[in-house]
Amino acid sequence: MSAPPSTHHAPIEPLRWLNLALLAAWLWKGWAFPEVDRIYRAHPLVFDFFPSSLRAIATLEVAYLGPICVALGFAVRRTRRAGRVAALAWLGGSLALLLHLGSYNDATFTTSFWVALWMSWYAFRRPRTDGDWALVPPFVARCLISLVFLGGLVGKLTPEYWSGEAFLDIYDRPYGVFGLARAYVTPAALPALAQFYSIGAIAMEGTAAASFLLPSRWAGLVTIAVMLSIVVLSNLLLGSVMAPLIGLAATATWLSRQAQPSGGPDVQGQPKGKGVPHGSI
Amino acid sequence: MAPPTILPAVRVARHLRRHRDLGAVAMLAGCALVAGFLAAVPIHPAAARLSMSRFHLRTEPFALWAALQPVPAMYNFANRYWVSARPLAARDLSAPPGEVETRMLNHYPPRIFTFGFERLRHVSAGERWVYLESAYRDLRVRSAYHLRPGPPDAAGVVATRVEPIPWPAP
Repeated sequence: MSAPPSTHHAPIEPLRWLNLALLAAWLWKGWAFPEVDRIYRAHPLVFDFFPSSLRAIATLEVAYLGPICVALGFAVRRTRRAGRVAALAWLGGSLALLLHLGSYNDATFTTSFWVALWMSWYAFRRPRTDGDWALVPPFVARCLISLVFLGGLVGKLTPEYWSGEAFLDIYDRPYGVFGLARAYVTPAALPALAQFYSIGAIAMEGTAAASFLLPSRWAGLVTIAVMLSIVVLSNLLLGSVMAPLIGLAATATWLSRQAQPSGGPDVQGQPKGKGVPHGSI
Repeated sequence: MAPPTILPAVRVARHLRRHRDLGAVAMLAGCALVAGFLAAVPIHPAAARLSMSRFHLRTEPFALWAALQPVPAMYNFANRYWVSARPLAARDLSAPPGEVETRMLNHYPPRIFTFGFERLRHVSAGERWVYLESAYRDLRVRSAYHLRPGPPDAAGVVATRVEPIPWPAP
Protein backbone atom coordinates (compact mmCIF):
# COMPACT_ATOMS: atom_id res chain seq x y z
CA MET A 1 0.00 0.00 0.00
CA SER A 2 1.41 3.37 -0.97
CA ALA A 3 0.48 6.76 0.49
CA PRO A 4 -1.00 9.15 -2.07
CA PRO A 5 1.54 11.68 -3.29
CA SER A 6 0.26 15.24 -3.21
CA THR A 7 0.98 15.89 -6.90
CA HIS A 8 -1.82 13.72 -8.32
CA HIS A 9 -4.78 15.61 -9.71
CA ALA A 10 -8.14 14.60 -11.10
CA PRO A 11 -9.93 16.76 -13.66
CA ILE A 12 -12.59 19.17 -12.48
CA GLU A 13 -14.77 18.74 -15.60
CA PRO A 14 -16.87 15.88 -14.11
CA LEU A 15 -18.01 18.18 -11.32
CA ARG A 16 -18.95 20.91 -13.76
CA TRP A 17 -20.88 18.59 -16.05
CA LEU A 18 -22.74 16.83 -13.26
CA ASN A 19 -23.53 20.20 -11.73
CA LEU A 20 -25.15 21.17 -15.04
CA ALA A 21 -26.94 17.81 -15.36
CA LEU A 22 -28.43 18.19 -11.87
CA LEU A 23 -29.30 21.79 -12.56
CA ALA A 24 -31.10 20.76 -15.77
CA ALA A 25 -32.98 18.01 -13.92
CA TRP A 26 -34.13 20.24 -11.09
CA LEU A 27 -35.04 23.14 -13.38
CA TRP A 28 -36.99 20.64 -15.51
CA LYS A 29 -39.14 20.15 -12.43
CA GLY A 30 -39.12 23.89 -11.85
CA TRP A 31 -41.97 24.52 -14.28
CA ALA A 32 -44.36 23.18 -11.66
CA PHE A 33 -42.58 24.35 -8.54
CA PRO A 34 -44.34 27.75 -8.03
CA GLU A 35 -47.79 26.20 -8.40
CA VAL A 36 -47.00 23.15 -6.26
CA ASP A 37 -45.48 25.44 -3.63
CA ARG A 38 -48.71 27.45 -3.57
CA ILE A 39 -50.75 24.22 -3.17
CA TYR A 40 -48.57 23.01 -0.31
CA ARG A 41 -48.84 26.37 1.46
CA ALA A 42 -52.63 26.53 1.05
CA HIS A 43 -53.27 22.82 1.83
CA PRO A 44 -50.77 21.56 4.41
CA LEU A 45 -51.10 17.99 5.65
CA VAL A 46 -50.91 17.05 9.31
CA PHE A 47 -49.38 13.59 8.93
CA ASP A 48 -47.76 12.34 12.10
CA PHE A 49 -45.52 9.84 10.30
CA PHE A 50 -43.24 12.75 9.34
CA PRO A 51 -41.43 14.93 11.89
CA SER A 52 -42.70 18.52 11.79
CA SER A 53 -39.46 19.76 10.17
CA LEU A 54 -40.05 17.36 7.27
CA ARG A 55 -43.62 18.56 6.85
CA ALA A 56 -42.66 22.24 6.86
CA ILE A 57 -42.92 23.88 3.47
CA ALA A 58 -39.92 26.09 4.29
CA THR A 59 -37.72 22.97 4.51
CA LEU A 60 -38.82 21.92 1.02
CA GLU A 61 -38.21 25.40 -0.37
CA VAL A 62 -34.71 25.64 1.07
CA ALA A 63 -33.83 22.08 0.03
CA TYR A 64 -34.98 22.71 -3.54
CA LEU A 65 -33.84 26.28 -4.13
CA GLY A 66 -30.64 26.16 -2.04
CA PRO A 67 -28.70 23.68 -4.23
CA ILE A 68 -29.86 25.51 -7.38
CA CYS A 69 -28.42 28.79 -6.07
CA VAL A 70 -25.16 27.12 -5.02
CA ALA A 71 -24.95 25.34 -8.40
CA LEU A 72 -25.34 28.62 -10.26
CA GLY A 73 -22.45 29.92 -8.17
CA PHE A 74 -20.27 26.98 -9.24
CA ALA A 75 -21.31 27.46 -12.87
CA VAL A 76 -19.85 30.97 -12.67
CA ARG A 77 -16.96 30.41 -10.27
CA ARG A 78 -15.28 27.19 -11.45
CA THR A 79 -12.96 26.49 -8.54
CA ARG A 80 -12.32 23.27 -6.68
CA ARG A 81 -13.78 24.74 -3.52
CA ALA A 82 -16.96 25.86 -5.31
CA GLY A 83 -17.27 22.38 -6.81
CA ARG A 84 -17.02 20.77 -3.39
CA VAL A 85 -19.63 23.12 -1.94
CA ALA A 86 -21.96 22.45 -4.89
CA ALA A 87 -21.56 18.67 -4.52
CA LEU A 88 -22.43 18.84 -0.82
CA ALA A 89 -25.37 21.16 -1.51
CA TRP A 90 -26.79 18.72 -4.07
CA LEU A 91 -26.28 15.84 -1.65
CA GLY A 92 -27.94 17.61 1.29
CA GLY A 93 -30.79 18.98 -0.84
CA SER A 94 -31.51 15.61 -2.44
CA LEU A 95 -31.52 13.82 0.89
CA ALA A 96 -33.83 16.40 2.50
CA LEU A 97 -36.26 16.16 -0.43
CA LEU A 98 -36.19 12.35 -0.28
CA LEU A 99 -37.38 12.60 3.31
CA HIS A 100 -39.89 15.44 2.98
CA LEU A 101 -43.65 14.87 2.98
CA GLY A 102 -44.07 16.88 -0.19
CA SER A 103 -41.40 15.13 -2.30
CA TYR A 104 -40.46 11.74 -0.78
CA ASN A 105 -41.93 9.90 -3.79
CA ASP A 106 -40.11 11.82 -6.51
CA ALA A 107 -37.50 9.62 -8.18
CA THR A 108 -35.65 12.71 -9.42
CA PHE A 109 -34.28 13.09 -5.92
CA THR A 110 -33.29 9.42 -5.73
CA THR A 111 -31.12 9.64 -8.84
CA SER A 112 -29.90 13.09 -7.76
CA PHE A 113 -28.87 11.66 -4.39
CA TRP A 114 -26.68 8.94 -5.91
CA VAL A 115 -25.12 11.28 -8.44
CA ALA A 116 -24.46 13.89 -5.74
CA LEU A 117 -22.91 11.19 -3.55
CA TRP A 118 -20.51 10.31 -6.38
CA MET A 119 -19.78 14.02 -6.95
CA SER A 120 -19.01 14.58 -3.28
CA TRP A 121 -16.75 11.53 -3.09
CA TYR A 122 -14.96 12.53 -6.30
CA ALA A 123 -14.59 16.16 -5.20
CA PHE A 124 -12.88 15.24 -1.93
CA ARG A 125 -11.00 12.17 -3.17
CA ARG A 126 -7.23 12.24 -3.47
CA PRO A 127 -6.13 10.10 -6.43
CA ARG A 128 -3.73 7.37 -5.30
CA THR A 129 -1.72 7.44 -8.51
CA ASP A 130 -1.47 9.76 -11.49
CA GLY A 131 -3.93 7.78 -13.55
CA ASP A 132 -6.37 6.20 -11.16
CA TRP A 133 -9.02 8.89 -11.68
CA ALA A 134 -9.52 7.34 -15.12
CA LEU A 135 -10.05 3.90 -13.60
CA VAL A 136 -11.66 3.92 -10.14
CA PRO A 137 -14.20 6.83 -10.29
CA PRO A 138 -15.71 5.70 -13.63
CA PHE A 139 -16.15 2.18 -12.29
CA VAL A 140 -17.82 3.43 -9.10
CA ALA A 141 -20.09 5.61 -11.26
CA ARG A 142 -21.12 2.59 -13.34
CA CYS A 143 -21.83 0.57 -10.21
CA LEU A 144 -24.16 3.33 -8.96
CA ILE A 145 -25.98 3.46 -12.31
CA SER A 146 -26.37 -0.32 -12.29
CA LEU A 147 -27.70 -0.12 -8.74
CA VAL A 148 -30.48 2.28 -9.77
CA PHE A 149 -31.56 -0.06 -12.56
CA LEU A 150 -31.37 -3.09 -10.28
CA GLY A 151 -33.82 -1.27 -7.99
CA GLY A 152 -36.20 -0.76 -10.90
CA LEU A 153 -35.81 -4.34 -12.07
CA VAL A 154 -36.53 -6.32 -8.89
CA GLY A 155 -39.84 -4.60 -8.16
CA LYS A 156 -41.16 -5.47 -11.62
CA LEU A 157 -40.66 -9.21 -11.24
CA THR A 158 -44.33 -9.65 -10.45
CA PRO A 159 -47.27 -10.84 -12.63
CA GLU A 160 -48.79 -7.36 -13.03
CA TYR A 161 -45.64 -6.24 -14.86
CA TRP A 162 -45.05 -9.46 -16.82
CA SER A 163 -48.58 -9.17 -18.19
CA GLY A 164 -48.30 -5.45 -18.96
CA GLU A 165 -51.37 -4.69 -16.78
CA ALA A 166 -49.43 -2.28 -14.54
CA PHE A 167 -48.03 -0.12 -17.33
CA LEU A 168 -51.36 -0.12 -19.17
CA ASP A 169 -53.15 1.26 -16.12
CA ILE A 170 -50.37 3.63 -15.00
CA TYR A 171 -50.09 5.14 -18.47
CA ASP A 172 -53.79 5.74 -18.87
CA ARG A 173 -52.62 9.21 -19.92
CA PRO A 174 -51.31 10.77 -23.14
CA TYR A 175 -47.65 9.93 -22.53
CA GLY A 176 -45.07 8.36 -24.86
CA VAL A 177 -45.79 5.04 -26.55
CA PHE A 178 -49.05 4.54 -24.66
CA GLY A 179 -50.38 7.93 -25.74
CA LEU A 180 -49.70 7.05 -29.37
CA ALA A 181 -51.08 3.53 -28.96
CA ARG A 182 -54.36 4.76 -27.49
CA ALA A 183 -54.72 7.10 -30.45
CA TYR A 184 -53.83 4.65 -33.24
CA VAL A 185 -54.27 1.07 -31.94
CA THR A 186 -57.56 -0.69 -31.29
CA PRO A 187 -58.40 -1.14 -27.58
CA ALA A 188 -58.33 -4.91 -28.07
CA ALA A 189 -54.67 -4.78 -29.12
CA LEU A 190 -53.53 -2.62 -26.18
CA PRO A 191 -52.95 -5.44 -23.63
CA ALA A 192 -50.61 -7.32 -26.02
CA LEU A 193 -48.73 -4.10 -26.78
CA ALA A 194 -48.48 -3.32 -23.06
CA GLN A 195 -47.09 -6.79 -22.38
CA PHE A 196 -44.48 -6.41 -25.12
CA TYR A 197 -43.52 -2.99 -23.74
CA SER A 198 -43.38 -4.22 -20.16
CA ILE A 199 -41.21 -7.26 -20.91
CA GLY A 200 -38.99 -5.00 -23.01
CA ALA A 201 -38.66 -2.58 -20.07
CA ILE A 202 -37.71 -5.44 -17.73
CA ALA A 203 -35.12 -6.71 -20.23
CA MET A 204 -33.63 -3.24 -20.70
CA GLU A 205 -33.42 -2.62 -16.96
CA GLY A 206 -31.77 -6.02 -16.50
CA THR A 207 -29.19 -5.20 -19.15
CA ALA A 208 -28.48 -1.80 -17.59
CA ALA A 209 -28.25 -3.40 -14.13
CA ALA A 210 -25.51 -5.74 -15.39
CA SER A 211 -23.72 -3.05 -17.43
CA PHE A 212 -21.08 -2.37 -14.77
CA LEU A 213 -19.50 -5.66 -15.82
CA LEU A 214 -19.06 -4.50 -19.43
CA PRO A 215 -15.99 -2.80 -20.87
CA SER A 216 -16.16 0.97 -20.26
CA ARG A 217 -17.20 2.01 -23.78
CA TRP A 218 -20.04 -0.52 -23.95
CA ALA A 219 -21.28 0.23 -20.46
CA GLY A 220 -21.64 3.91 -21.33
CA LEU A 221 -23.37 3.22 -24.65
CA VAL A 222 -25.80 0.69 -23.19
CA THR A 223 -26.86 2.75 -20.19
CA ILE A 224 -27.24 6.03 -22.08
CA ALA A 225 -29.29 4.28 -24.79
CA VAL A 226 -31.52 2.65 -22.17
CA MET A 227 -32.06 5.92 -20.32
CA LEU A 228 -32.85 7.94 -23.44
CA SER A 229 -35.29 5.28 -24.61
CA ILE A 230 -37.07 5.37 -21.23
CA VAL A 231 -37.54 9.13 -21.51
CA VAL A 232 -38.68 9.03 -25.14
CA LEU A 233 -40.90 5.94 -24.96
CA SER A 234 -42.43 6.35 -21.51
CA ASN A 235 -42.79 9.91 -20.44
CA LEU A 236 -40.79 13.08 -21.11
CA LEU A 237 -41.27 14.05 -17.46
CA LEU A 238 -38.85 11.23 -16.65
CA GLY A 239 -36.17 13.47 -18.16
CA SER A 240 -35.63 14.98 -14.72
CA VAL A 241 -35.10 11.48 -13.27
CA MET A 242 -32.71 10.37 -16.00
CA ALA A 243 -30.72 13.57 -16.63
CA PRO A 244 -28.42 13.14 -13.59
CA LEU A 245 -27.76 9.50 -14.50
CA ILE A 246 -27.16 10.30 -18.16
CA GLY A 247 -24.70 12.95 -16.97
CA LEU A 248 -22.98 10.40 -14.73
CA ALA A 249 -22.77 7.77 -17.49
CA ALA A 250 -21.35 10.32 -19.94
CA THR A 251 -18.88 11.55 -17.33
CA ALA A 252 -17.71 8.02 -16.56
CA THR A 253 -17.22 7.33 -20.26
CA TRP A 254 -15.28 10.57 -20.71
CA LEU A 255 -13.06 9.87 -17.70
CA SER A 256 -12.27 6.37 -18.99
CA ARG A 257 -11.50 7.69 -22.46
CA GLN A 258 -8.91 10.11 -21.13
CA ALA A 259 -6.68 7.08 -20.70
CA GLN A 260 -8.08 4.90 -23.45
CA PRO A 261 -6.03 5.57 -26.63
CA SER A 262 -3.40 3.05 -25.68
CA GLY A 263 -5.49 0.84 -23.51
CA GLY A 264 -6.27 2.80 -20.35
CA PRO A 265 -4.31 3.20 -17.16
CA ASP A 266 -2.53 0.03 -16.22
CA VAL A 267 -2.81 -1.57 -12.83
CA GLN A 268 0.06 0.55 -11.63
CA GLY A 269 -2.22 3.48 -12.31
CA GLN A 270 0.03 5.34 -14.73
CA PRO A 271 -1.93 7.19 -17.42
CA LYS A 272 -1.25 6.13 -20.99
CA GLY A 273 -3.72 8.44 -22.63
CA LYS A 274 -4.30 12.15 -22.86
CA GLY A 275 -3.33 12.88 -19.30
CA VAL A 276 -4.89 15.49 -17.04
CA PRO A 277 -7.14 17.76 -19.07
CA HIS A 278 -7.74 21.45 -18.41
CA GLY A 279 -8.64 22.24 -14.80
CA SER A 280 -7.94 19.70 -12.10
CA ILE A 281 -8.84 19.03 -8.51
CA MET B 1 -2.62 -10.76 -31.73
CA ALA B 2 -4.30 -8.14 -29.52
CA PRO B 3 -4.04 -8.77 -25.78
CA PRO B 4 -7.30 -9.85 -24.10
CA THR B 5 -9.42 -7.01 -22.70
CA ILE B 6 -9.28 -6.86 -18.93
CA LEU B 7 -12.68 -5.90 -17.56
CA PRO B 8 -12.84 -2.70 -15.48
CA ALA B 9 -14.05 -4.67 -12.45
CA VAL B 10 -10.90 -6.79 -12.51
CA ARG B 11 -8.60 -3.82 -13.05
CA VAL B 12 -10.23 -1.87 -10.24
CA ALA B 13 -9.98 -4.86 -7.88
CA ARG B 14 -6.26 -5.22 -8.65
CA HIS B 15 -5.73 -1.48 -8.22
CA LEU B 16 -7.51 -1.36 -4.86
CA ARG B 17 -5.42 -4.30 -3.63
CA ARG B 18 -2.25 -2.31 -4.31
CA HIS B 19 -3.34 1.17 -3.29
CA ARG B 20 -5.10 2.09 -0.07
CA ASP B 21 -8.36 3.85 -1.03
CA LEU B 22 -10.87 3.57 1.79
CA GLY B 23 -13.28 6.01 0.15
CA ALA B 24 -13.56 3.91 -2.99
CA VAL B 25 -13.88 0.73 -0.93
CA ALA B 26 -16.63 2.36 1.16
CA MET B 27 -18.53 3.47 -1.97
CA LEU B 28 -18.33 0.00 -3.49
CA ALA B 29 -19.23 -1.67 -0.20
CA GLY B 30 -22.27 0.62 0.10
CA CYS B 31 -23.31 -0.36 -3.43
CA ALA B 32 -22.89 -4.02 -2.59
CA LEU B 33 -24.97 -3.63 0.59
CA VAL B 34 -27.86 -1.94 -1.23
CA ALA B 35 -27.60 -4.42 -4.12
CA GLY B 36 -27.74 -7.27 -1.60
CA PHE B 37 -30.95 -5.87 -0.11
CA LEU B 38 -32.47 -5.41 -3.57
CA ALA B 39 -31.48 -8.93 -4.59
CA ALA B 40 -33.28 -10.23 -1.49
CA VAL B 41 -36.62 -8.65 -2.52
CA PRO B 42 -37.63 -11.39 -5.01
CA ILE B 43 -36.44 -14.24 -2.82
CA HIS B 44 -37.14 -13.18 0.77
CA PRO B 45 -40.69 -12.10 1.78
CA ALA B 46 -39.37 -9.96 4.67
CA ALA B 47 -37.35 -7.80 2.25
CA ALA B 48 -40.32 -7.41 -0.10
CA ARG B 49 -42.64 -6.53 2.81
CA LEU B 50 -40.16 -3.98 4.14
CA SER B 51 -39.92 -2.36 0.72
CA MET B 52 -43.69 -2.22 0.32
CA SER B 53 -44.17 -0.89 3.88
CA ARG B 54 -41.73 1.87 3.00
CA PHE B 55 -43.95 2.75 0.02
CA HIS B 56 -46.94 2.96 2.40
CA LEU B 57 -45.14 5.23 4.91
CA ARG B 58 -45.55 2.56 7.55
CA THR B 59 -41.96 1.58 8.29
CA GLU B 60 -41.12 2.16 11.95
CA PRO B 61 -39.07 3.75 13.35
CA PHE B 62 -38.87 6.76 11.06
CA ALA B 63 -35.06 6.47 11.02
CA LEU B 64 -35.34 3.06 9.32
CA TRP B 65 -37.70 4.50 6.70
CA ALA B 66 -35.26 7.38 6.19
CA ALA B 67 -32.34 4.97 5.79
CA LEU B 68 -34.27 3.05 3.12
CA GLN B 69 -35.30 6.12 1.17
CA PRO B 70 -32.20 6.33 -1.07
CA VAL B 71 -32.66 2.68 -2.11
CA PRO B 72 -33.80 2.90 -5.75
CA ALA B 73 -37.31 1.50 -6.32
CA MET B 74 -38.75 3.16 -9.41
CA TYR B 75 -41.92 1.59 -10.78
CA ASN B 76 -41.84 -1.19 -8.19
CA PHE B 77 -44.73 -3.47 -7.21
CA ALA B 78 -48.36 -3.39 -8.33
CA ASN B 79 -49.70 -0.38 -6.43
CA ARG B 80 -53.40 0.47 -6.47
CA TYR B 81 -55.43 3.17 -4.75
CA TRP B 82 -59.12 3.73 -4.13
CA VAL B 83 -60.41 7.20 -3.13
CA SER B 84 -63.96 7.75 -1.94
CA ALA B 85 -66.10 10.43 -0.30
CA ARG B 86 -67.38 7.77 2.14
CA PRO B 87 -65.82 4.84 4.00
CA LEU B 88 -65.63 1.74 1.81
CA ALA B 89 -66.43 -1.88 2.61
CA ALA B 90 -64.35 -4.81 1.35
CA ARG B 91 -66.85 -5.52 -1.43
CA ASP B 92 -66.47 -1.90 -2.66
CA LEU B 93 -62.77 -2.50 -3.12
CA SER B 94 -63.20 -5.69 -5.13
CA ALA B 95 -66.03 -4.22 -7.24
CA PRO B 96 -65.71 -0.43 -6.94
CA PRO B 97 -68.92 1.57 -7.44
CA GLY B 98 -68.77 4.26 -10.11
CA GLU B 99 -68.10 7.11 -7.70
CA VAL B 100 -64.93 5.46 -6.36
CA GLU B 101 -61.74 6.57 -8.08
CA THR B 102 -59.26 3.71 -8.51
CA ARG B 103 -56.11 3.19 -10.55
CA MET B 104 -52.61 1.76 -10.39
CA LEU B 105 -49.65 3.95 -9.50
CA ASN B 106 -45.97 3.65 -10.34
CA HIS B 107 -44.67 3.82 -6.77
CA TYR B 108 -45.49 5.17 -3.28
CA PRO B 109 -49.31 4.97 -3.44
CA PRO B 110 -49.83 7.65 -0.71
CA ARG B 111 -48.53 10.11 -3.29
CA ILE B 112 -52.13 10.28 -4.51
CA PHE B 113 -52.94 12.63 -1.63
CA THR B 114 -49.52 13.97 -0.62
CA PHE B 115 -47.90 15.02 -3.90
CA GLY B 116 -48.35 18.09 -6.08
CA PHE B 117 -51.54 18.62 -8.03
CA GLU B 118 -53.04 15.31 -6.82
CA ARG B 119 -52.95 16.64 -3.26
CA LEU B 120 -55.00 19.66 -4.31
CA ARG B 121 -57.53 17.47 -6.12
CA HIS B 122 -58.13 15.21 -3.14
CA VAL B 123 -57.82 17.42 -0.08
CA SER B 124 -59.72 20.41 -1.45
CA ALA B 125 -62.84 18.33 -2.05
CA GLY B 126 -63.78 17.68 1.58
CA GLU B 127 -63.41 14.51 3.63
CA ARG B 128 -61.90 11.55 1.79
CA TRP B 129 -61.23 7.90 2.59
CA VAL B 130 -58.18 6.48 0.81
CA TYR B 131 -57.30 2.77 0.49
CA LEU B 132 -53.89 1.67 -0.77
CA GLU B 133 -52.55 -1.74 -1.74
CA SER B 134 -49.16 -2.89 -2.98
CA ALA B 135 -48.79 -6.41 -4.31
CA TYR B 136 -45.70 -8.44 -5.13
CA ARG B 137 -46.50 -11.97 -6.24
CA ASP B 138 -48.41 -13.47 -3.28
CA LEU B 139 -47.55 -10.71 -0.83
CA ARG B 140 -49.83 -7.77 -0.02
CA VAL B 141 -49.33 -4.62 2.03
CA ARG B 142 -52.47 -2.57 2.63
CA SER B 143 -53.12 0.81 4.25
CA ALA B 144 -56.12 3.03 4.67
CA TYR B 145 -56.29 6.72 5.59
CA HIS B 146 -59.00 9.18 6.49
CA LEU B 147 -58.30 12.71 5.20
CA ARG B 148 -60.10 15.23 7.42
CA PRO B 149 -59.80 18.90 6.42
CA GLY B 150 -59.98 21.39 9.29
CA PRO B 151 -61.61 24.81 9.21
CA PRO B 152 -59.77 27.50 7.19
CA ASP B 153 -57.61 29.84 9.27
CA ALA B 154 -57.58 33.64 8.95
CA ALA B 155 -55.37 33.38 5.84
CA GLY B 156 -57.63 30.80 4.22
CA VAL B 157 -55.18 27.94 4.81
CA VAL B 158 -56.89 24.57 5.28
CA ALA B 159 -54.82 21.97 7.13
CA THR B 160 -55.89 18.38 6.46
CA ARG B 161 -55.29 15.75 9.11
CA VAL B 162 -54.19 12.35 7.79
CA GLU B 163 -55.33 9.55 10.11
CA PRO B 164 -54.58 5.85 9.58
CA ILE B 165 -57.76 3.72 9.73
CA PRO B 166 -58.23 -0.06 9.63
CA TRP B 167 -58.52 -1.90 6.32
CA PRO B 168 -62.14 -3.00 5.78
CA ALA B 169 -62.89 -6.46 7.13
CA PRO B 170 -64.11 -8.97 4.50
